[in-house]
Amino acid sequence: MPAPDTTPVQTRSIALHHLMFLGEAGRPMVFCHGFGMDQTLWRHLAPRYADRHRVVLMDHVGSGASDTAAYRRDRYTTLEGYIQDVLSVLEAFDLREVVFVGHSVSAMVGLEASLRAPERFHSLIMLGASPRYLVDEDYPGGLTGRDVEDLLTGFDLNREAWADQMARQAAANPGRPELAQEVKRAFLAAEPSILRQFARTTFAVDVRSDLGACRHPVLLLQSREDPIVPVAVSEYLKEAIPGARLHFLETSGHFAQLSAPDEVGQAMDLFLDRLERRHD
Amino acid sequence: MTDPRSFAKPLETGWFEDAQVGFLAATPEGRVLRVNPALLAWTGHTEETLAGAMWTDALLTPAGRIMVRTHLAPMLAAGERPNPIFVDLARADGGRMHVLLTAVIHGGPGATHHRMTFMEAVEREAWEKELVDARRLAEDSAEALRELNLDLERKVAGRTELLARANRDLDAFVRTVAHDLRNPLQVLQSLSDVLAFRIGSTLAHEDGQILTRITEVGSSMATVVDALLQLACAKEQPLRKQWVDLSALAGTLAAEYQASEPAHRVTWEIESGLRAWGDPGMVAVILRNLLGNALKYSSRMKEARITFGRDLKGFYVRDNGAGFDPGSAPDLFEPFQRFHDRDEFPGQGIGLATVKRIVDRHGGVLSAESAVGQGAAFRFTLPEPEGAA
Repeated sequence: MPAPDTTPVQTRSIALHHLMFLGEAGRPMVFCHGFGMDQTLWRHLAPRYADRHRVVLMDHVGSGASDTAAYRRDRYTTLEGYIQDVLSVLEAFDLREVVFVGHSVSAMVGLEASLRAPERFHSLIMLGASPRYLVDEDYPGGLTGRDVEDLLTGFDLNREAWADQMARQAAANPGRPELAQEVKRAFLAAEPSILRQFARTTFAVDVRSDLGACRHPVLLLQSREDPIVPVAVSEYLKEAIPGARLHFLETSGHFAQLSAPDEVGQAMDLFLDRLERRHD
Repeated sequence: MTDPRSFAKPLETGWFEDAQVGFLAATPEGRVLRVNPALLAWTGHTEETLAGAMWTDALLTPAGRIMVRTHLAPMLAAGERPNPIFVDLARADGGRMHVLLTAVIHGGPGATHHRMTFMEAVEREAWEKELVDARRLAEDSAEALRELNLDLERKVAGRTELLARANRDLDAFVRTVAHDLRNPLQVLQSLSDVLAFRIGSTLAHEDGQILTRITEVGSSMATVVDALLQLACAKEQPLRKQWVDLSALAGTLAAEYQASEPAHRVTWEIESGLRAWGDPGMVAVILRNLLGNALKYSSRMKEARITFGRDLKGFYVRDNGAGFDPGSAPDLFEPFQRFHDRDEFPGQGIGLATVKRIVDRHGGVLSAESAVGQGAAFRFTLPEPEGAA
């Protein structure tokens, strides 16, 4: 929990992003979810860092338990709004040398934020990252424009199934089915228009030209057979980001932090330990 | 009649082959185990090309693959039964086919596999598309409206705050000006009094009239300044509410007025036992203004009658004087509104504005009813505290 002497800016930031804090001291660690998710995505992973780090969990505006009233489409038609939001959180709590853990599109949100305010970042851990989801000349992004439209239609047609999946992944306690129902209701009640825009913003991302400017240590964590990120994109990222380490996980799918939190945690520990030793 | 039992054997077999529904069995990892002829016919694939392949790769469009991998697969992996979803099958010839996909887990430990059922939903596709488009339009409009409303609320709140601040500034300005005018005015009045005392009797008639006029104008100016101060203070001063004996207060004021204008014959009718919950000083300003107005506008009547009482609609002050045309005075309670000639009935048009402010601050309502030549009645309410008898 934040200290009782919370400033108004901090209070606003907490409400805006439904910020959750785990752990008291240590190098700050910020966890950031991607499209269609919220901070519950990290429930198997984030708590294990609370003994060594000051862990911060956030929801993007328009997702999860964030303050949806603050959402303005204009602000979030590109990654810019999300990038500014991350920087605002870091500034509000004066977090410096942060280990930023970003999933999916938020991996690139973290990268862009680290270019704007390098002093606030220590390192970047990217799960299922992609600098561009669409195929391009000589770039194996994986999806075509048609695929994206199909996907958006799929989301619209199968909202119930999507909600079920959200509920399942969000419910921390399998013995409490009412919790899953709660999440499902909340998800179905969420502004579908905001979700759709988040999807469009995500699939419109192209930050390939910024990758070379990254000066922070980067760990790329990638599942086998990620339906959204082809292996070739992970290889592309490794080549484009100076000094990036790429680690393929044994698990498959796009949500390794749910399907294999231990494996993800071990890879992160190895990366972070190595960095700390280098600093000694 | 044929014996139904003779169908028993044939009924047990052939479903997988005959059904006009796609069936597919796959390992928990997604490798194809078995496909039925309908699904092969729909997709143009053969058993050979599909054997051992990842069914999501071989049979779905990229979007369908993502839907299944992110939504259906995690549910199956967790041992749960996912809701059916709509996806497109990718045919070998590059075409696609819209289907409803259901997936279940089959078998016990060690021999578990997944069974997928595909139902043709081609006709659905067109109106689904329309439905999706219409719903998106509605949702996007609702979202735009939501944002507009939020922005509007914020804007209105901002403007209201600005307006309130402007009003506060204006009140402060009025208070300052009135205050600054008061002192020199008092000096002016004293000096003209001194002058009248010293040389008044020696002045020629016309000069004496000028001096008298100076004194009169000074005193009417003092009245305006005091009224302005009262108006400005009516909003700022904190309220100290208590029970106020309105009947006694009205009686005192009536006696005061009667004494100051003994020539003006007025019948005062004051209901006894009236009390109100309010700030005593401010409630006195209400009565002083309303009774003063009643007196003023009934001054031409031979048999002036002023009534103060209470009925179901609240307190009222009624007179049988000149009255006014309500249609010609819509801003009756705004400052500096007058609906009689100054020469006919003197006044500054500040009194009712002050009364209105005080009643508003007490959470009450002020209203007026009248007609030309029919007298006037001013009504006001002062809410009583919760639980008061």
